[in-house]
Amino acid sequence: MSCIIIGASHAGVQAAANLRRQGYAGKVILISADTVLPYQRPPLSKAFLQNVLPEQKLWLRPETFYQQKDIDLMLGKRVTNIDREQRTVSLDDMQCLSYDKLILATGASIRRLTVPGSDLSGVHYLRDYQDTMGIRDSLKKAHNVVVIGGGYIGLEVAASLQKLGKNVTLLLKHDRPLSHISNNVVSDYLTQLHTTHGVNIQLNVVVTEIIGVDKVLAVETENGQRYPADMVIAGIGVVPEQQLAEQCGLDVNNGIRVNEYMQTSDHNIYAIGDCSSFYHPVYQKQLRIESVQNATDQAKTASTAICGQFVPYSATAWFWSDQYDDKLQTAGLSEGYDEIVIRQETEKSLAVFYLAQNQLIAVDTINQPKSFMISRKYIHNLPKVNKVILADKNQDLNSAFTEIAGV
Amino acid sequence: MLNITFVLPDKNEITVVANEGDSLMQTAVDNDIEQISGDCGGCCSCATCHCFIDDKWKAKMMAADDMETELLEGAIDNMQENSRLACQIFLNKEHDGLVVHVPESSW
Ligand SMILES: Cc1cc2nc3c(=O)[nH]c(=O)nc-3n(C[C@H](O)[C@H](O)[C@H](O)COP(=O)(O)OP(=O)(O)OC[C@H]3O[C@@H](n4cnc5c(N)ncnc54)[C@H](O)[C@@H]3O)c2cc1C
Ligand code: FES
Repeated sequence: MSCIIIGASHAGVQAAANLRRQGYAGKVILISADTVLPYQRPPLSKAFLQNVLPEQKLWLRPETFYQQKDIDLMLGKRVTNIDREQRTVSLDDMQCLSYDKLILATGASIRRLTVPGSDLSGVHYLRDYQDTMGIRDSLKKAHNVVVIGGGYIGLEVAASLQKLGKNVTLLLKHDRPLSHISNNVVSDYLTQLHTTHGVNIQLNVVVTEIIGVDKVLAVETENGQRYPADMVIAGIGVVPEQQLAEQCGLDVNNGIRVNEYMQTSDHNIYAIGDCSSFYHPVYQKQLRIESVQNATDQAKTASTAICGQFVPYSATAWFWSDQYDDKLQTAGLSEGYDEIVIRQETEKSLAVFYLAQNQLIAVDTINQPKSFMISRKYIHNLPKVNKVILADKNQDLNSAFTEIAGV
Repeated sequence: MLNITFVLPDKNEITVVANEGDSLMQTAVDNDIEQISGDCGGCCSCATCHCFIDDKWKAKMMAADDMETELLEGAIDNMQENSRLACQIFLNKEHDGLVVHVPESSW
């Protein structure tokens, strides 16, 4: 009996650890194209980029863990093909391995710039360990850095580099940061935060060219502006890594389609984490979520099913981001909200609650960890809430969920 | 090298060896203490590393800061005086022999 896991990151490592915890008796083979021990990704744009987190604290587990748990960790190997009939996978070093169960935890790959000059030296992206090491190295000789993209990665990179004393310009295509996932109130707070720290934030600008000779010199935008750059870092999103699944004929559509147990259209093959597209029974939508929470929780669902217990996945999504000394936390999914309620405790502490037809569907908090935690406890079934209490910083937030009069 | 004892919800005890400078959360995760999952990697964002410090060890602990206290107050219904987030406790020589009670995971 053997279970092969492709991808040894947040999802894959959790799946392997869980199989052993639950007493899976067969072989567990964990394969990763990455060449270093499996690591945490969130610090890559935060503490590890700033060089304040020692490498040894980046690893998800110590090397001895894999030996102790009898997990066969194969680093620096890429799976090139899956044969569903023979139940085998082929590796780039010509090995061929058999499986009874297969878990795809292949994650996502960065989307690249396509404008002229994108292939100049000095243009960076940030997804893995090597990327951060590459950026850290180039930073030694760079002062002017242009960051492209107003999602979490762009914002975190801008904050980290500003902290390192660089001259940072942040170029956003949209009229505000986090425009797809957060309300104006949150976006405006972040724009202000970065501006106060000295980042030159430019909204509504479309990059048309990276200018340079061999090496990048500037970034040009549609309105003819040129921003001098010793290096460029683009955080313009990711695409699910679904090629292997596609090649072997599994259902894919912006992610590898899975059922509530993380099984693909071939029930011996599971897909978890950033690469999986699943139906969320509470939000009643097809989703693909990029977060540590989603990767680890889906790993638990898949490994539990492989050990014979089928428990549908319905976890609450949550996420965090650290920028400068500010902490953002979010729970639930805000898409489709029709109303917001704000709870402001101080100038630097606020919570934005997202409601749809009077039900709480998501919350974003800035420096208000208690509100994040309380909301996360209750939000799993999209509760009706008392809006007066939600907004009133002097009242216990718990009672907004338990006393719903006045909804 | 320090010895740290985790008392699990079923009252079983596991004693592990920890490195000075590591957090209590990292020590638990490295040793596969399943109830302490440490999902946010120790940046005080998730409360999946909640534990109780044995009363006898209270004096050897640095107090929790505001962020930790707020997170705990929001997360834990039955919060106790000795409730802590394991990722905010960094181990030093003084902690050799520390006893930590691990509750059933609330998440
Ligand atoms: C810079 C950065 C900061 C982030 N910050 C946060 C944060 O603050 N909070 C949060 O919740 N989330 C954050 N995320 C998102 C989070 O890291 C991802 O959601 C998570 O890593 C997903 O885990 P995964 O295991 O599904 O995929 P991945 O982490 O993408 O791992 C997939 C692995 O599979 C390997 N692989 C792919 N194809 C093959 C193949 N054919 N053969 C062998 N190996 C293969 C890859 O090499 C990779 O190692 C951040 C991500 C990044 C990049
Ligand atoms: S590990 Fe997330 S708060 Fe401690």
